[in-house]
Amino acid sequence: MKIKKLNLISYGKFNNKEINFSDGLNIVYGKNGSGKSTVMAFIRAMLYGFSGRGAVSINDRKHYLPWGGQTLSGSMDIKTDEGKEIKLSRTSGKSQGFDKMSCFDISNSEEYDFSAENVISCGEDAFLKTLCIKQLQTAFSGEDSEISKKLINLTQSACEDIDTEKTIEIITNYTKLFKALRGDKGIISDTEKEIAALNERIYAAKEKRLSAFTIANKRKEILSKKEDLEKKLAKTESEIENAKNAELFIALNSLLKEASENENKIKELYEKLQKNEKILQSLSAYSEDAPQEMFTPHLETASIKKEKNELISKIKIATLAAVTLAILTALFLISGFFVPPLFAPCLVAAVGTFISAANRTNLKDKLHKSEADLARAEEHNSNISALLSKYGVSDIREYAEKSAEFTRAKTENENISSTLSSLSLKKEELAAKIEEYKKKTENLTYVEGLSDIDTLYNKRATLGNEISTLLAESAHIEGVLSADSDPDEAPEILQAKLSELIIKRDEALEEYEAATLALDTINAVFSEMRSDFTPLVNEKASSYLKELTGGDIDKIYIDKKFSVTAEKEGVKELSYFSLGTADQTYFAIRKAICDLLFGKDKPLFIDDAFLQYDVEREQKAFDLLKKFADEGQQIIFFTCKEYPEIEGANIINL
Amino acid sequence: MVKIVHSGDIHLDCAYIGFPTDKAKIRAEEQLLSFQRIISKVQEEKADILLLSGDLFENDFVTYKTAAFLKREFEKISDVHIFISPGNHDCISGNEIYKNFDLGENVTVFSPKLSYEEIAKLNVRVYGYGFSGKDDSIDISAELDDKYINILLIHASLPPYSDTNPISRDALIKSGYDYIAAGHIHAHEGFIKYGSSTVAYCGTPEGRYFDECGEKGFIVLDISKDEIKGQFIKNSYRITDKIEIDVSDCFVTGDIIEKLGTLNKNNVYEIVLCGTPSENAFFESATIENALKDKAFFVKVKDKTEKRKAEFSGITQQKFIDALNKSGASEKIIKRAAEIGILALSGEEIK
Repeated sequence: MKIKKLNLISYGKFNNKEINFSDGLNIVYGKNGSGKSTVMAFIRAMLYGFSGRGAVSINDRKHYLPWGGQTLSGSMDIKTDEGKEIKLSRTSGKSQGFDKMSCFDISNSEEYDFSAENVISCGEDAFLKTLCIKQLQTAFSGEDSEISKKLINLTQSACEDIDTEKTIEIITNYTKLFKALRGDKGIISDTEKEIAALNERIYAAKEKRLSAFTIANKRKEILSKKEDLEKKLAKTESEIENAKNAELFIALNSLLKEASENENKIKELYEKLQKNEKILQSLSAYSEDAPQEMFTPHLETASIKKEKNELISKIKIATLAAVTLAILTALFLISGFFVPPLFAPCLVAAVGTFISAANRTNLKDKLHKSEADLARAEEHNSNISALLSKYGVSDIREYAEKSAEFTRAKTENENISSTLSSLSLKKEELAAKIEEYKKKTENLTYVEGLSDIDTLYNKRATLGNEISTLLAESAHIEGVLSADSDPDEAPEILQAKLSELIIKRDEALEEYEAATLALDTINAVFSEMRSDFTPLVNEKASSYLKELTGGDIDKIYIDKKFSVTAEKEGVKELSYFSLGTADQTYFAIRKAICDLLFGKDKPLFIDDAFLQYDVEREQKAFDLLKKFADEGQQIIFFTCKEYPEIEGANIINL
Repeated sequence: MVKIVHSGDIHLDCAYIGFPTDKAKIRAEEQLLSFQRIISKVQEEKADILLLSGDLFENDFVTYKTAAFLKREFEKISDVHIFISPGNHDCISGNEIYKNFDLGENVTVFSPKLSYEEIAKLNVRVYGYGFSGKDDSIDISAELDDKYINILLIHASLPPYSDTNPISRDALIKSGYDYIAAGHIHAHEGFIKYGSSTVAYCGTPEGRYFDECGEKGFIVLDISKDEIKGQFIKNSYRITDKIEIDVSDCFVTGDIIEKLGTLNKNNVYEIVLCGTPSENAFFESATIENALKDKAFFVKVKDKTEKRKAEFSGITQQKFIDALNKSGASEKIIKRAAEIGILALSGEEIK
């Protein structure tokens, strides 16, 4: 590829500025500020478009905004490697998206499908890092060690900015984010742990959901059990009702029984009353108390009679005795006159006679009395007998018995009457009660063989308790079922989170895989570069360096220590060389890499790379450039230094 | 004419993957509302039969509350014959509802064996097959009595699908059913004739995920022995919409919002960014989602933009890319490894 012509229609300070290049060595000369960098930037912009990125220095839009206008515009004629001459035009729009580019074949004006990659075989970055060579000091304003590093980078990776060690470190560190070298650290493992934890929560949440169905089934069982119990309860209630009825029947029965007993009693008493009534009628004579005299006993007459007889006898004896003694007294009295001593017996006999007479008088009184007693007794006895006969009783005992019987019957009847009146009262009461119970039981049926009502009440209470227990259980289950469980622990919510975690984990795995692949591949590439590319660069650069230094240094070998072998002085490190030599080494390596990458087909842009060279080496450098041009490579050399005329060079003064 | 409502693939209690929790909860509620609309339609149309062609709920997540909800809803239409052919998400072996829960006397759940229920007064026989949970292969052929309107209710993959429980075109043609009410595919694809059979997927009544875009609904059928008139009834509570937008000329979030235009506030959107944005563009999915959060029910932004082709920028890079391409890893991994490698080679931290 060759650049034939530039037309800077409006770009930076230029307006319709045309620059023609030869296919060989071109030297663009201009003082500072004359626009060398602008021309270089224009070439880049023509190839790769107007950049709008970053700092002003590399931002075409900001840096090269035309002084008079708002649009960057220009064209560049190129001869491609296939020999086609094309015109490439670009005009900037309000933003990068609106930039316009056109390209056509100059020979036939047909549209040409331009791409920088096809025409110049590299991207913008590579273009700047390979085909554009600056002075080493300008390129890197750092220290020697930094320069060495860049040179090492250059030989090892063909790019001064690629630091193999740093590259490896960056990727390695990146992989460690995902999987630590040791231990189970890193995003992958962390996410795996989160996934495992979440899985457990999901499992638990699902179990909980399933348990709701189990619980619901349990409730169903409970409700059916409750239904059974309610049936039993209803049955018990009816039994209780029946039992209550039965009590009415029993009460009625007992009332009936009581009424019948009452009736019997009344009948019995009434019979007794009638019987007593008869007795009272028959014994009415004895209704009053017996006359007092009837109670006097029959007097004993026999003893009185015997006493009278004995008294009569005794009177006879006493009379006899008194007569006898009176005779004797008379005898003795007479005799005593005759015989005085006989007065004594006469006295005794007289006394005797007196006593006997007295005794006889006494007995006689007694007899009179006894006779009066007897008469009185006999009258008394006759009176009593008359009374007894009047009452028709044989004696007072019989009267007493009959009177007592009368009294008894009378008293009894009085009692019976009173009892009867209370019994008839009771009869009325019972009849009323019976009527009441009959009414109560009128529509009831009597069921026999029922449990005792208390047992039934107990049964009812037990059933009621069981039912309320079941109801409570059921209500509890209802509560559990309708309770809002933590909505954030719902398995579908967790599952959604899990899916995101799995995506995260899978992405991390992929990222790790990609990073590992990048790392392995980069290592392999670096190793290949070291074994294949680096020696070639060394070899080629050595030959250029030999020419540039006029053989002072004939061999260059750059390793990690940046050792350079010089012909006479043996191995010497870069730091031993002058800045000029370092510059020349840099140029040699850059050119060598370009050769290796592009051959000689692509133009080489050199930006005042020889400023540090002494005159001799400067001459050798231009000789080398002429040699490159002779070999067919287009060289565009930008400089602010006026060099002696160089044969065959196309000089462009800005 | 017998009036039939055919729905399915309702997926009650599903996980709303990709939705934030608060939105997921709202969507779960709305799914129930969406189901109630079907029941309302059954009432409104005075339908004789409600066919539910599987995936009524998801075994993994179904709640007792949902079971109770279904029972209540079915009770509302107690005079309607309800048939369910369980699908792969509500397969019989995997849930308590079909096994132990009483959904109501008017509900028939088909077992994993082709069988039928006859509704004499309607002159209809409904054949059905419930998904067992294993990899089922169903023979849908039955000795049909042409006197009856023969309906097959099934959850299966019909041509051209074949992922779950596939039924071949031949089997459909030979089957002879008057109507095959199918579930499994979440979109109604019209009424298709296979031989004498009219076959239709009812689709899901509510689009839930980003691959269930557009109006969703169910089917209302008027069927006699001679004629089938089917109608798709829109039911979606919310519509899921997918918008692909080329953001090649967008630089900031505002550009994308402007380009999107007005969104329906009720809808769920998946916005797929595509194209090749400038390297100077800076917008991220999260900021776009945030900017749109009040403009629709929920917006998910998927970035499928192509990065500008990694330019060849040096021999190391080139060798690296070449080596990657030969690594045998998947295209995706190689692409990402290339990005990582190029960033590392430039000394930049990896993003």
